[in-house]
Amino acid sequence: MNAKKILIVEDEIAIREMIRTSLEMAGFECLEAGDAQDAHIQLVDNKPDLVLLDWMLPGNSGLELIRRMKRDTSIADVPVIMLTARTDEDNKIQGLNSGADDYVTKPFSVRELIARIKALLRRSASSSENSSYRMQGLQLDDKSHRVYIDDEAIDIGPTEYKLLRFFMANEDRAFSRSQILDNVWGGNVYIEERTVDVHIRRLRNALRRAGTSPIDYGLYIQTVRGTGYRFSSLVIQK
Amino acid sequence: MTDNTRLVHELSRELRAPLTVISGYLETLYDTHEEWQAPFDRMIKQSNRIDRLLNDLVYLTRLEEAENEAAQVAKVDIAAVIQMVTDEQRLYHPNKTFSYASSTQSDIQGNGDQLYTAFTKLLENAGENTAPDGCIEVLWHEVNGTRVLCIKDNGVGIEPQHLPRITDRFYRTDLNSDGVGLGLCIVKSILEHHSACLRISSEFGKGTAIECVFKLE
Repeated sequence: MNAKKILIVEDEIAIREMIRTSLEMAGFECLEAGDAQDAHIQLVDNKPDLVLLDWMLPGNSGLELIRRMKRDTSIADVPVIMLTARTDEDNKIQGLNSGADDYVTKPFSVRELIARIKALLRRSASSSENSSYRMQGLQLDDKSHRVYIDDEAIDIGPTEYKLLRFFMANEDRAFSRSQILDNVWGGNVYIEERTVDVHIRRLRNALRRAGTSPIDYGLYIQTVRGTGYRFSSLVIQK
Repeated sequence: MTDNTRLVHELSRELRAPLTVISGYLETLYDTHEEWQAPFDRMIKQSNRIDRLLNDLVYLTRLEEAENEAAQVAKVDIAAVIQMVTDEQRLYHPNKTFSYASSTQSDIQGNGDQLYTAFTKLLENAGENTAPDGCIEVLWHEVNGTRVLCIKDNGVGIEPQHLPRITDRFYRTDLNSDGVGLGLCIVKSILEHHSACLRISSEFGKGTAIECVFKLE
């Protein structure tokens, strides 16, 4: 099997080398770039499978790189994970809206980073036309509009169903409340963002009360403080 | 931004880069050196603590800064915020009992995100300081012309000598805990933004009751 190629775009050499070491240990092949221009050249020449992009590159050039990627059809589909500093709450939202697929905050756990990379690679490899989603004992079947936990159908409202479908199709990715509204309720409706919280609560309850499963799937709907929500089976870190 | 705030923000940004490098290598070493797992694990935990400390410190200076500006105020359904925080803590502590009751009007003028953070910190404390099968009662009610959020647990309690200083910056009742000593300081600051106050009563060995007292609008 070919190793997946990851392009690490980060101007601090010490961080770049640390990421490279960790990713190589995990079986990835790594490319490195110290600035956006070099990154663009490598993207075109070496066709990486995924880009890790430091948000704090000088002169907002990280954001410009993503915009440039999106305009170029040959590299527009390469998934991007942003590396951000935690103090930049607004930048996170800005980044996700501008086309990054996920983000991790510094200092990040390399295990979590690797899990996110794998999830994102899986997601971009599988077709988006899936009609059935499964995570461990949790299964969503789009044909029958039913959700099963350990093969037993559970009670779930129509909005909660759509919400879960959206999350399961975008595992491990954080969304702001307004992104969730746009994707689940549709872009042109005016609904207060806090409505999302109400339905998240109902969804967690539906997943929690269901059956005799040893796993509480409500736990997988995770609050991302200051941002929104994410669906993930990764261990919650406080 | 005051000089003080700017210093804290810059310092935390500058510390995060080396911290990222250190904790990143530590995790890889942990995964590859079985005989050293315990010490590496301790080092990872300590570097996580530095990270939490930086987060709390930045958050706190931001709050203090906001005191001088017009903070973002809107109508907040406080009962819904409490409900959400309680639900989330229940997920982290499936074997503990969290009860929640609300018996008064729930809209207040305030900052929903800040209140969410404050209540989360209080309930996290309650969750962490109770036995594995502990009970936490959460109540939003009206008392003598005020509206009060009361969080009562049957946990370890706080020794009386700590109570006067417990909301001080970096004050820790247990030096061996993972805490960084800024949680209650943040809670207090957020409540002050809402013209509310924090009351703590506790009996060592029996439990703690924390009240957030809001004026009736």
